[in-house]
Amino acid sequence: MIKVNQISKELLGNKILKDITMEFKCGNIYSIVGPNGAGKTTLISILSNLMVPDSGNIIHSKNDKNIFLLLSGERNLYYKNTVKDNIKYFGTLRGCTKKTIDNNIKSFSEKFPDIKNILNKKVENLSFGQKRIVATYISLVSGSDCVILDEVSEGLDLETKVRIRNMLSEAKTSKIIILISHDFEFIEKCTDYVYYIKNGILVFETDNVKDIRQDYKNLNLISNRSV
Amino acid sequence: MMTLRIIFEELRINVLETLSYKFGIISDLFVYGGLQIFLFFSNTGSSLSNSYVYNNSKELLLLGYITWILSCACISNIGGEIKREMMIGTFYQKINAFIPIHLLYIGKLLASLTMQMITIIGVYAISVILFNVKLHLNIYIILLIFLCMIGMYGVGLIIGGFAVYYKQINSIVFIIQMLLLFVSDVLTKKQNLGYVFKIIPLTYCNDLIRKVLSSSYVGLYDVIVYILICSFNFFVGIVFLNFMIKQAKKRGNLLQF
Repeated sequence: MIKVNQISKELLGNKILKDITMEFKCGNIYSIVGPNGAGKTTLISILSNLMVPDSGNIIHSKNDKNIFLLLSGERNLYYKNTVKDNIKYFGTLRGCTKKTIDNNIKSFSEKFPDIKNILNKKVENLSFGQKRIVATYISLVSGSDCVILDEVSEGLDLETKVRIRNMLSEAKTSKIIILISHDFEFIEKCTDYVYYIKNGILVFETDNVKDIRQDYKNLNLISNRSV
Repeated sequence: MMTLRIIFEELRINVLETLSYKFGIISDLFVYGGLQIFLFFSNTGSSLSNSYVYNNSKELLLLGYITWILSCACISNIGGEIKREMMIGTFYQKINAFIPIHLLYIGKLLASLTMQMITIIGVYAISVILFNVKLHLNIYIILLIFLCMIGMYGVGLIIGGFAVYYKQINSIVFIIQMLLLFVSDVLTKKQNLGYVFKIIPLTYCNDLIRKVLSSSYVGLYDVIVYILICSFNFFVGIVFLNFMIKQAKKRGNLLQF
């Protein structure tokens, strides 16, 4: 479990986060949604130990460093190395034994055979969607207790989104998964709980993800983006 | 045991990655080989013969030159790599790694030194084939160079600390590498070297390895001072990098690239 207690952060004179309190439990997929500039990136930076809050604290029931932040876009991987090298590397980095990594690869590869086919390919030779699948896969099998995915579905076709969604649903039983996304369709289909933030304030939270679009409108979170 | 495994994995992935950049290896060979040919033809370092009472000044120069190449690897592959890894997003995984980042980067250091051996073999081949200059290495020289690498790794961590906070440091890395060539007694031995330059491990190393090569007297005091200088740089590097990471976390610019 991760408990965020009244976190506040000011950057360059602007209050980015104001007394945010949240709770994340293992076995669930959470989404943090809000318009651009709401403070989502600052929040995930603090959650993933890349930023220190000005006030408040985060209580981790397990190792506070064991959080995997997957950045948006085509980053997060060593392009000149194979998929297998990357899996091994990031797993080892988290303190996983060789046996654990091999078991994770085996069990996941059986459920998602398309990973198996690209294990020995260099990342640079993969398509954008495949890179995203691989990066997500690595974040899920590297032994982290919590995985934060920033805009994981951005730029992906429907088929790839479904694959990633299935991966997340499969992995959520043993970890906390947090999504930062503007893709409401994606959120609706795989999220268990949604936090809405605006101007650094937590404005609403719900486990009724079916009404996410309506909630977003009702909460007046729409900027220029059509929902 | 896990620490060693992680360091080895860092070494492995970096060696594999560098091997993929074949042009990088070839360009290193051209740059360092070309500079060496220029230095040898222009008779740079001829005064080293007088300073160390050793008739082969080119051998003394070559020894310092190779140590400089290795030192450059420590600086660019630690300081410069931190910036690159922030861009590709792998640095953030390293901050949350099972072992501290300064230990993890030992793997990167070993990888860059291993890969730089290809350049050094090339440079040595040029020395032997074009100038008939052979190196007479011994275990003391190798040990002294090893210590220098530990100290220069610390310098690399300091530069890495700047990269974490200020991001754009490529030109600074280049300037420091060039500066080292001229201020750390690689090319000549300066009598009135400033105090600041004497605490650079490479400066002290160049003096000691040339003394060993020329069979000059190396006092215990010199060795102790050298070990202290290398240790100082190493520990300052660790403290500084971790301090800068902390500052970047406070300032909130660690993820901004």
